[in-house]
Amino acid sequence: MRLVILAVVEVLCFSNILLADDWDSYVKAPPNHAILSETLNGWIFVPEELKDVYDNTLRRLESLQSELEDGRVTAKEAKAELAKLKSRLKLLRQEIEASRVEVQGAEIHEQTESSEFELGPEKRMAITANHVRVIGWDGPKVKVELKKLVLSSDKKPVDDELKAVSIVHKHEMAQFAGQTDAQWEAQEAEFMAKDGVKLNKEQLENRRKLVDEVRQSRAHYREWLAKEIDQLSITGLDYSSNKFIEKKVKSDGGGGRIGSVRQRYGELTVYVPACTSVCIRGARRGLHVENLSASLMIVDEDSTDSDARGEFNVVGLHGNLLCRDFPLRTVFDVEGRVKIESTTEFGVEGAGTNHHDGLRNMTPGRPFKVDLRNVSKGVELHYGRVQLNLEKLGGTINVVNEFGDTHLVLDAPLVDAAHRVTSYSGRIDVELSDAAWQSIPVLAVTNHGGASTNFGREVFDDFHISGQDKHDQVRRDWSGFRTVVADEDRRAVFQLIPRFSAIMDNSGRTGGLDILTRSGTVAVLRK
Amino acid sequence: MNVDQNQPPLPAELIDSIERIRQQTAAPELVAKATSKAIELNLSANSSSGEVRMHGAPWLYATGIAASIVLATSFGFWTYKFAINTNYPVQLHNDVNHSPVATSSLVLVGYRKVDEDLDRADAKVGDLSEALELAGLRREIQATLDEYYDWSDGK
Repeated sequence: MRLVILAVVEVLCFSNILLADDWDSYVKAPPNHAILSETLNGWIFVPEELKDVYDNTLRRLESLQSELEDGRVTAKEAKAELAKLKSRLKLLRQEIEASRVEVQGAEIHEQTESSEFELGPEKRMAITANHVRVIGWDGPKVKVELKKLVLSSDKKPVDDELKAVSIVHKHEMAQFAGQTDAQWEAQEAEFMAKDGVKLNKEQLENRRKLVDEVRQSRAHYREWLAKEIDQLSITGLDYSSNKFIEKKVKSDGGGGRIGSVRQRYGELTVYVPACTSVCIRGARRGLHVENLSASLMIVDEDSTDSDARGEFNVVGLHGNLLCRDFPLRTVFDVEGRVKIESTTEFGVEGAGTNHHDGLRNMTPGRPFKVDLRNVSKGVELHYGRVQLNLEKLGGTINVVNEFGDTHLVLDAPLVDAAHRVTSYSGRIDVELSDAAWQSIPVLAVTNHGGASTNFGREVFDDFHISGQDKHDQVRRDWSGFRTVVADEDRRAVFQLIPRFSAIMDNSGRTGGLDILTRSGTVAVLRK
Repeated sequence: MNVDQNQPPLPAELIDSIERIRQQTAAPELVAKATSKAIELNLSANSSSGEVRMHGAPWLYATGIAASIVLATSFGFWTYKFAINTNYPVQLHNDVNHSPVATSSLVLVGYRKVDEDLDRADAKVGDLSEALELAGLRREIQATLDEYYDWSDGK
């Protein structure tokens, strides 16, 4: 993925560097047009002036969002302006749709291939591919369809390129899962007998740490170890054989872009009967899982291409979901538990580097949006910075969204457990129905942010306390709200201080919904 | 509103206020508290004095008004002060023998507190609406940004 990002060089001040004799090598877009988006083999252009107005309107909407957050506009004023901006954006969008011009930079050649097989006794399958669709079905076998796509810009035949992209099915040990404990121990014993004797104590300790790190990095594959499973992959898409082709486009008086993309693509659709588990590896160009009856693991490994604006969805799963370092956008209707650890940055819209006033500015993208809805047996989510929307969650809720905003809607009673939603700087909004509110004590707290609620003080009282933070042994202020406990000792509020540390560590504490953001705003609203 | 048929009726205006706020389902605990206190106060007003209204010649009215002012500025002040601290301080019981005017003042103070709580409940309706409106607006702006930043249809 990173190689691809590095390979794509976007040129902003295009006219300054474009030499006259280079002009012929560029695909020509209509004059005074700007790039709206990219397709696999080209670009969508629209009149530059129109796009500028559209972008400025969106920026005004972002400003309105900030003003509302900071209380610089009333709800009434914001509502009126939002209505105007929405209306303007709708019209602009219509104008843009009507004036868009598709410019092709390469030809697309397409071919399909299919196969089928029966799952082995383990009833487990691993799929390693860049673009994957997994559809649960009632068929007795696994059915596989591969859509091959090859780009060309030189009119030469592409038969060999299409032939190179092909389905591979194997039934063998899951090598990607690493080694068993016994294999590791045997390997270490052999090393110690042969080379270990030459190392001093410090070197041996460093080696032990390294080996532990390697073993830990494969811990999520434990259930796949030493098992013969069905494995699907695609040939011809590896870094060495799938070459880059250059894409260059320019609009006279408008925008342009120089970049490169891979020549071959494979979109794999797999129809899967109910089974024990499915592991999807890679899939960074696109992923869609639908109505699957199996445990599902999704990992960002062995992808040889990526699309930062791709669709990555799980819609309907009977089984648990484990996802690591992967940009899942939506997770809907899971009859099971969801565990996601995705702490890297996935937001790309608006991201980039520019030069202004003698400064070189690196701007982060808009936060990546993630929606989770209707998960029956609990969530364990750890994100770096996403715009997270959560709804209809059963089981235990454990959410860390370090630097992004979280919006949680709870309609049903919560189970009696220690739930938490935490962040360092993100805003956390929680909306509770009466049934959810009455089911569990709620604690909403921040060190440096604001806190708001529409629950009355008689049921959700304020507190402001200072104390030694057990988490990092420094003194902190804590402000927020908590469910009123009848006939409680007035000093009980000070018992919250160790709880704050327990929330951050997710260590032992009594049942309750704990909402903690270090410097963001926390809002708890009755629905 | 569940009012015992044997109880004297609450003032119609108060019933209307309680019903209106109850229908909006905001701060139900506050509405319930105000309702029960209103019923209690009403019982006291009607049982300890027989009636709250004053009858008689103009001089009697004048005396009554003067007494009310005196009571309002002394006893009334302290009961009201107490009211501020404890929400419902005016503990009227049927077995306490208050004078009609004192009872009248106490009931008025009590009703005023009921009214205040109803006002608070009413304000909560506003707060609740405002808070939900703000939350809704925030989401609507975010959804609009998401929608109009997305050009994936053109892929």
